[in-house]
Amino acid sequence: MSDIAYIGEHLWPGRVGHMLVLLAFVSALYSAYAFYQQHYKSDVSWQPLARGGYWVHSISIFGVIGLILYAMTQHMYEYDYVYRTVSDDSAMRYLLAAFWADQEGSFLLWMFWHCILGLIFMYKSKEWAPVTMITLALIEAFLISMLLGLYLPFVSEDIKIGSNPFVMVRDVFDAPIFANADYLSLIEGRGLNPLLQNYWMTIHPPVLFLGFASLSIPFSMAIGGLSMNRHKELMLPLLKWALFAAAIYGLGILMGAAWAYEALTFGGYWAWDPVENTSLVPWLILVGGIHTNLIARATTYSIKTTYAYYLLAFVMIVYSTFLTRSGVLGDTSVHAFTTMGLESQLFIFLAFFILLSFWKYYKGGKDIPRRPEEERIYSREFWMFIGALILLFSGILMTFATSLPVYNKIVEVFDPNHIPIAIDDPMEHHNRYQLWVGVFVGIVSGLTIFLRYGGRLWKEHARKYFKQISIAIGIAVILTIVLGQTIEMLAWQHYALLFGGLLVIVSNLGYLLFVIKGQMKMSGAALSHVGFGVLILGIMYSGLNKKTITSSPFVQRDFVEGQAIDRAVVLIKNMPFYTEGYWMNYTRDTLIDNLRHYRLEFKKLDEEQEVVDEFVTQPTALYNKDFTKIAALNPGTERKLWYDVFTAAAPNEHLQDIEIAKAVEDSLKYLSYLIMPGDKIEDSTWILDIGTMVFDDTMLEDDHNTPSDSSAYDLTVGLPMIFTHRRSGRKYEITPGLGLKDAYIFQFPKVIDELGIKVKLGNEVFGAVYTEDNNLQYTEIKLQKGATIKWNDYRINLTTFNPGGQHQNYKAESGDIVVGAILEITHPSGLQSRVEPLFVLRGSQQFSIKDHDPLTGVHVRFTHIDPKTETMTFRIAADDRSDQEVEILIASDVPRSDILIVEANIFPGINLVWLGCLMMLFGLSLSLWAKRSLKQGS
Amino acid sequence: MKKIHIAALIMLAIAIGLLIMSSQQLSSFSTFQQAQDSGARVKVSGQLSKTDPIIYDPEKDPNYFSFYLTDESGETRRVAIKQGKQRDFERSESIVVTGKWNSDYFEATEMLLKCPSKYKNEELALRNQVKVSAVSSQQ
Repeated sequence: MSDIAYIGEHLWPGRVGHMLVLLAFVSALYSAYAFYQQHYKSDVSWQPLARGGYWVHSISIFGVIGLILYAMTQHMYEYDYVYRTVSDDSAMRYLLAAFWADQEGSFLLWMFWHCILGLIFMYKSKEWAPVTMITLALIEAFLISMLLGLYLPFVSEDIKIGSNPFVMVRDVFDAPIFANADYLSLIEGRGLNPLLQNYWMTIHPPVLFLGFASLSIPFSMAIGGLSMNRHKELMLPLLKWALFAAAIYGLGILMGAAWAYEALTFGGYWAWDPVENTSLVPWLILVGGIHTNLIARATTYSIKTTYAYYLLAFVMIVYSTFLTRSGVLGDTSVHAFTTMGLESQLFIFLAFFILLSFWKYYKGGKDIPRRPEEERIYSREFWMFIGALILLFSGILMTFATSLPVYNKIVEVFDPNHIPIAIDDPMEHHNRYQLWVGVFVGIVSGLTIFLRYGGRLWKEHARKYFKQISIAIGIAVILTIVLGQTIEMLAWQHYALLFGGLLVIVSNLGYLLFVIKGQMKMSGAALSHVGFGVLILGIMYSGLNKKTITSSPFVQRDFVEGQAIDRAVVLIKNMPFYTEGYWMNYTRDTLIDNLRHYRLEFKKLDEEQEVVDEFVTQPTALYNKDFTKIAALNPGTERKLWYDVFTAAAPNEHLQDIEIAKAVEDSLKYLSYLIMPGDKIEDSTWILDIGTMVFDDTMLEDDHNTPSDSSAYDLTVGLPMIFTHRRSGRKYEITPGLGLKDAYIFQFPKVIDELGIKVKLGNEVFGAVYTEDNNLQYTEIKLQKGATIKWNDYRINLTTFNPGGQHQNYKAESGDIVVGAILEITHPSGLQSRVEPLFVLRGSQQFSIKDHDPLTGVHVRFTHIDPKTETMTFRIAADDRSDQEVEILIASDVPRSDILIVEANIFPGINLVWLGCLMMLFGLSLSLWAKRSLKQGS
Repeated sequence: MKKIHIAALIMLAIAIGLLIMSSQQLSSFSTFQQAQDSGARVKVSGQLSKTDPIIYDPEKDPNYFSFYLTDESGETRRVAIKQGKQRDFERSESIVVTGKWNSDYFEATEMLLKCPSKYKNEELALRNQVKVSAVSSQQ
């Protein structure tokens, strides 16, 4: 196929881009080598070369990103990455979202942040830059290697190194279309998955990847620092970067949780999905590392442990990358990327940094000075260390559970008959174990904050300490009992968790108010801890007090083992439904672009049945771009201060997917009625009065359809009719219709949901109103301007001329002389309409363009102009509508289109979850700010 | 031995204990026949039997859904679940249901669909596809 000269392809961005990828790889390796020379050989002359290398690398990465973005804005579908993420109608505001929606783009985003951070770091931190940059540049080399797109011939098969983001679509697909040199004019990009067309997709990934990238700095410093024997000095810069990473990374995770809560219909912010877990684990370990780092700064204990935590945190990020991008997780996660075929390469990436960490830790760890004496049990560091261990412990439990697919894969290698195992109920599993992490973190941090480093002056301090914690515990116990009444506790463990959460709030608030007396600089830790406690409260209120108000009232709760409850109810449009103190009414739906909004009106009643609150939620359905299918159903949420009302809605099945609509349509049994307009059909449940044909486009309106463009049809026919329901006497007026476009007939059936019937017109209806040209009996008539003539029962008046007239069947060419004649036609019934046939002179040829008036059924040709007498000749004919019997098709038991399947949940205290998380992040940032002016050794 | 090491060891012991405990919460994949014989809560993986009826009628009960699943041994049995029908159900490549056997059908409490990968197996998207709306059918 390579010998085809393809039309319209832009090859230069791909060539330049791929060259930049190669350059970025080589310069990353070179920069690592040069920094190595500078640091280990103490040869300062390498510094400009090393920095230059990193600059070349960074500029190459920026160039690659710029070229991909450029190709995306230009819709260069010849590139597979563009083809995958952009389509003709892609909005510019989703350009960035589309860029990092897939593997290659998200790798580039990660590298982008490494470049930015590396460029800042190598100038700002003179002492630690070279040794840190070695590792950072190596990480970059590994990452960019994922995009190399090189093939190494090896024995008999090719080994692929990396996947080039500039690979062409014709090299990816093997399709006959590429035999066409002009294939580009035929293909259109697939576009961004509608689920990702969302502002969260624009802001969540960059923050999360900045978090990932900033964690690489403490990791790289730790790898370097382990061989430098300047451990005490390193602890402060390590801490600053770790605080920065934890705040940004935490914000990234929080945004993911908020996105899940806002967009996903499962109703929650955390699902213990493998990808969520593996991204939380590095953060937990990082936070553990911050605690040991603080100990190391204050006491010089735990230096070695601090290194270990930072090494592990990064390794866990690489492990998470491996899990989510290699396809190992398979169908256990909603987040998994489409695979790139780089499993082995990702595994080498992981293995390299695990081995590097072990080697450096083992080699450098021996030289770290240890304090001979033990931490005192009443010292702050002892319990902080325990806290850090709990966080590690939490991460280990989570990782094991999440790694079961990996375990299955490994066992399968040795035992092909291995039956894969999986956790029965991940939510339940993780909640059960992580609950204890919450309890212990709460208690430990609640009791630790009043302790002093080194147990300083313990003898004098002990009484005061016990007094402080007694008060804190006392208040926490009382609050546990009081607040316990407001939460639906399911087990005694929940009291433990509530106590843990309250203790950490009470004691840290106490510390904040009475010990450090609100000094901003020192309050970061206490604020973070209070935030953690608030988060626990939020988790308990929203998790345990969550109430599905649409569940059937007889089933009390949904935890009864193996007994799922009814979660959803069916709402019929404009039929209010009462449940659990709320009137719900589905009143209408509105289509805006490709998003359909379902309006749910709520009225909250008090015990006296008085309306105390009214609000509206709008769950939505997002269609794919050709409206064949709903791509996503998004919940609608009413946010109150103390609770959210969360609603998820789905329309009836046949409205979700054209495939299902077709299947439903095929399963309908239509009864055929041949009838004259104006007649009547009687059924056992209804009486039908048929009106007379209409030819306007009113019947094209259909609120379940995409808005149809009436001018798209050559001819439209509608038959108004009225159904009278015998029992209720209610009348339903509908106008089913047909549209003719070229040789196709489009059906516009009508559904009466209350009667469960669907009505359409037989295709032959057109035949009854429209006679083909060669079956028409034309009569020649001659008219002068203003004259009126009687033809059959019609009166025809030549009103005026329209030089340069237009008609949909006439395509003007230059040199044409065109005259339209405007004729007014009065039907025997008194109906009036106008036609405008054209007379065309093209060179020596003359021809006429017929006009047809569907209302009166008149066809008119303008065949001759006699300039002398100013007499015009027309040929006129009328549709044969004598045999006007039309076919009406009626199906019963039709699925309703006016129902909505709704699940409504009350989430109390969800704002406590957000508040708690934000306080934690604020506390981290505050600690970082407080340390901004500290210099090394302080 | 330092106290802190003792604390770490205790936690390690708890972690191992918990992991062993949680291993009892694991369920393995089995066939309908095994599910029927054991009566235990299991996971069954299989494919939707497209020739058998798929029953979901939200107007009657939006929380009841039933279909036929062919398990890996090739046996087809009815599965019922008390929840709405998942979107893209018919398009799924394989289905994993968790639950237990109940007299003459498999009563599932959870269901996971594996859908075909998004890009690679599909045809190229061509320009100017005829725009069809979800209800009106072209004849």
